[in-house]
Amino acid sequence: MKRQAENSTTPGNNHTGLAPHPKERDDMVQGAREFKPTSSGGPDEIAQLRIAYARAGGPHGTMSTASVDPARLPVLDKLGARLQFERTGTRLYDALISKLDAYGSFEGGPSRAQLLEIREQEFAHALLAQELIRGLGGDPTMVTPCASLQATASRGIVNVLVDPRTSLIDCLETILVAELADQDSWAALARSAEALGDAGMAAKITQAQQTELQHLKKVRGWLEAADRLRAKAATEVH
Amino acid sequence: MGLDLLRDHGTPIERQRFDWKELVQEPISKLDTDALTRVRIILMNGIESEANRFGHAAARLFPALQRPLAVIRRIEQHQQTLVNWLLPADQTPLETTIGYEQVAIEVTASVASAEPDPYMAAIFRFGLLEDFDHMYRFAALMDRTEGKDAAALLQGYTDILPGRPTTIEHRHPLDDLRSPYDRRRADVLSKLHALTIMAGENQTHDYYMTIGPMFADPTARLLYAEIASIEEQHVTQYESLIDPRESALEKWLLHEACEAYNYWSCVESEDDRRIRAVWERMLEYELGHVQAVARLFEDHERRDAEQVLDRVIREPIRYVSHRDFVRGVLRAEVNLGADGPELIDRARDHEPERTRRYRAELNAEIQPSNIAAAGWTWQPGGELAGRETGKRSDASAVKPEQGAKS
Repeated sequence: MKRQAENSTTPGNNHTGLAPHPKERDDMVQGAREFKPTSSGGPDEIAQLRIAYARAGGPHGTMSTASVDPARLPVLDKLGARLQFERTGTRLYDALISKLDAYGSFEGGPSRAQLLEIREQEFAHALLAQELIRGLGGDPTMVTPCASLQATASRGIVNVLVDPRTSLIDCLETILVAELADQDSWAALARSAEALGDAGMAAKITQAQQTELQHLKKVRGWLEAADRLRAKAATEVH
Repeated sequence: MGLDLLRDHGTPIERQRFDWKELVQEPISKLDTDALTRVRIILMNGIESEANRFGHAAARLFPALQRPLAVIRRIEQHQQTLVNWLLPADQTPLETTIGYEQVAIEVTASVASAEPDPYMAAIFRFGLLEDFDHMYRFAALMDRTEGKDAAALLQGYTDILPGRPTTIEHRHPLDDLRSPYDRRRADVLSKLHALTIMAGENQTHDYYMTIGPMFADPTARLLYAEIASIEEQHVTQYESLIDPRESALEKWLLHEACEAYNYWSCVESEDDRRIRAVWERMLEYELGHVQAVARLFEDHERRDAEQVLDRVIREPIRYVSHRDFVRGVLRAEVNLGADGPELIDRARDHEPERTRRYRAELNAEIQPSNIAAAGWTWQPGGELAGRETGKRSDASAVKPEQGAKS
């Protein structure tokens, strides 16, 4: 089985830095001095183009025209986002369980049962979001604009989790990003639900947020343990 | 109304110009745009991609054509840019893949149902069922690795069901070569159909070969490798339908006609006004290319271009759901295989030994498409939309919460 702390503590063959190649670095710097830019201006040119395209274009997506009370659309947009995020989160924990099965855990790290439990809670949250959307007369198969944005923002997280070269610790560091965003997003949803005056729905959402808060605490705890492990491993190497 | 390829003159080549701002327009919305608009964009990128591929190959073989090819090919490259850059950045490579397979299913179904030559129609149906299975495998991959439902992209037009299983689509190269149409007797529509589907499959192959290594998940990397191999088979199959005795200029003329035919089909079916204006402009440009190449054809070959483009086209590609047609083909023809250029019933006839050996070797250790979709059935929202289907088989191991270890 691979060592958990190997990536960051074991000297290897990283080729990216210029320090081992001082002559080449100096040659490149000299070249950059000799051959000047052929267009004037700076990063603002890119900013100007972004602004022009932003002003000329439409939104990346909208809600459906199906007959739902418009007052419910902001909550449905956010619920759609939770639904997609929790489904993807369920698959992320599937991938995390594979990491644990491949690498094993570490002292103070997660047990398989703990990861499985979070996975099932993410899945339960997806089912909850689905049920709440239906309850508001929405369509849970619709990808809402907020769901689409969060999926785009999460792509890198998925890529780290499913890459066979990343360790359980690498993946815990990455899933922390997802848990932070998820916790805050449930909190934002709770505020929107309260504005609708639906106490039952708000209570369910707040409960989900509390469970997500527990996920966050657990992941943080495992990462603290991982840091201790890495510090110890680095001392052993030297 | 029909398409009169030699009498609709289009835009003269010297007036066909672009600037960067025209080439890079606002993309479509992944959420708000009709799926068939995405299908048209993807296919037209493939059609223009084939124009570029053919143009370069011809220039390398026929020095006399280099200059006119260079001029028209540059315009086509810019047309391709304009069209392909209509796809949005938030459409991931896997989501775009779902779009590519929707093209392969709906466009091939349209072509197969309109094809006048029974043998060619059978070959189109044969390929259709294989791309149909790819859709199912990629949709399963999307659900199982990202928790996303491919139906959000397909918008109800296209089914997500197993077709001819991808694992048995692997055939020896000699069992992918088909019999070509006869250039002197074939209906011009058959020629345009073959070029259209060949172009679509070739761009699909090239796209999967480009994006396959960008995936991190081993199952995804394997699945793209496996399906790209089938797309190579499909390019082999469809290009072999085209009569190799056509001269280079005859082929060039048919390529330009195929591009015009496809833009015309897009104009006929597009509801999005902004995108429709793109198709109309591109159609005018392609008709201009047809005129230019027809003149070259007549000058070089001392033949009338009407011998090749001999009738008004009245059968556009139909951009609709072909669900019933595809289901019928699935029920009747899923067991087909190939022995050289002929299709055989695998339940009755043995496939050639060369194909059985080739397939057994490839599938010896891993069958990626089986892994991606093991036990998977599509349902609205995906596997995680159901309380039972979304549960892990080892979920019973979950114990009551005991708090974090650390």
